[in-house]
Amino acid sequence: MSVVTHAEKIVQIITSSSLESRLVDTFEEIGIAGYTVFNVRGDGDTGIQDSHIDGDTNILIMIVTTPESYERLMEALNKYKRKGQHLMVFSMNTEVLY
Amino acid sequence: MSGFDSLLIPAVLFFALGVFARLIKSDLKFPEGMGKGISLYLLMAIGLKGGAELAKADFGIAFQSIFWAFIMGLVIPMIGYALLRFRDRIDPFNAAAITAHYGSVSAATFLTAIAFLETSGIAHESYPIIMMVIMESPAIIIGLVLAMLARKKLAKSKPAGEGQEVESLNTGALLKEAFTNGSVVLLMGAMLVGALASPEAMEKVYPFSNEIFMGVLCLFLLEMGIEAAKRIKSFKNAGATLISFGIIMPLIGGTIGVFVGVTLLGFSPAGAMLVAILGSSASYIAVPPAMRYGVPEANPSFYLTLTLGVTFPFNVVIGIPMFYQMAIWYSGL
Repeated sequence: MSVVTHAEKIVQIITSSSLESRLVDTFEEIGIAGYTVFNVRGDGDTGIQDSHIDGDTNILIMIVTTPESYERLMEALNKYKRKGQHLMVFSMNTEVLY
Repeated sequence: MSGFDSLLIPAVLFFALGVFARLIKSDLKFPEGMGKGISLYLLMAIGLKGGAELAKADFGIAFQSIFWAFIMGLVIPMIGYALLRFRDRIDPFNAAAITAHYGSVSAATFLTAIAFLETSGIAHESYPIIMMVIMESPAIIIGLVLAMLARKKLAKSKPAGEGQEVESLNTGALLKEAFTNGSVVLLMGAMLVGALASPEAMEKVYPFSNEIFMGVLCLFLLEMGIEAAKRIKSFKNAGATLISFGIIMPLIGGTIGVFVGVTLLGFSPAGAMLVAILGSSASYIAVPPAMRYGVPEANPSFYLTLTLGVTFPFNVVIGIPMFYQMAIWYSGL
């Protein structure tokens, strides 16, 4: 029996936890209902991010989306980038099992 | 207690231990989230203690304390901004974000100052606790306004379509977040509980709010020591101007605090020292998240290095005993 999977996109965003609620609002606005958030640690341009205080807590948001929603999502995220917000956004093609 | 003795209170020694542990690359570390949990306890305990005291307080002085705290919260960041922008040394966005931290307060520094007084058996007024609550937020407004002005100026100097998108941030939502910040809500709420609960009922809570307080503060400062030492590697990145600012600004803010405490509010040297610590300390709880979103052009590494790596250790080791001596001297004039 062969398993049927669907071609979708996976988008990952590394950013400050202070942006989480705003990003979630944006997801809702563009019709993305599901996402997963991880607390992550690291270092980079914005200094050490080790979850000691709210100001140095980074999160990784993972979204699996259809190719149509993907375009809208990337446009919305690009708006944040243009305002100077620090977001690392990367995406990959993925196969999803329903 | 004066001079070197002031360093020999357990909380400060644990801070030194944290710095030492990090410098020798020890694997000593706190479980994730524990620091945040301990700071919730500390805010709650100080709120309960302060509330119980304030229930017996004079409303006239309490009102004056609130007024001057608000003024300090507005004036100190403006002085800081002028200093940072002197000869265009620091760009306006970083200057706005950094100075907002200095107008706000560090609860951990304030609690260490209380530990310094209580270990020595020196009585102090409880009004500075309510001043701490008031001073958490006004500086955020100043930081946001300064950054907004800088953004407008930048947009005018650049031809249309070039550079970053200048779109107004939702300032109202940002201010609401500043005033409903978790630490502000907890501190205010605990003070209210402390003021409303009957003294007999409050006695039952004393083991939690008073007796273990110093021990928990030691644990917290141990973690703060580790965190402060982590920032040392960012000193080079921040540069000499910013590092010097991290020491000069608390001296200015503390001196203003001594003046406000002694002359304007008529506090004892101990109470005036607590006001000085409010003026000299820099926030690392309420302000950084607000600046990360509100002033994204600024580099978070700069303000966190300054507040945690420079100003916090400076105040804990030098500022607290120094401002206490300054308040004694000034009160005697």
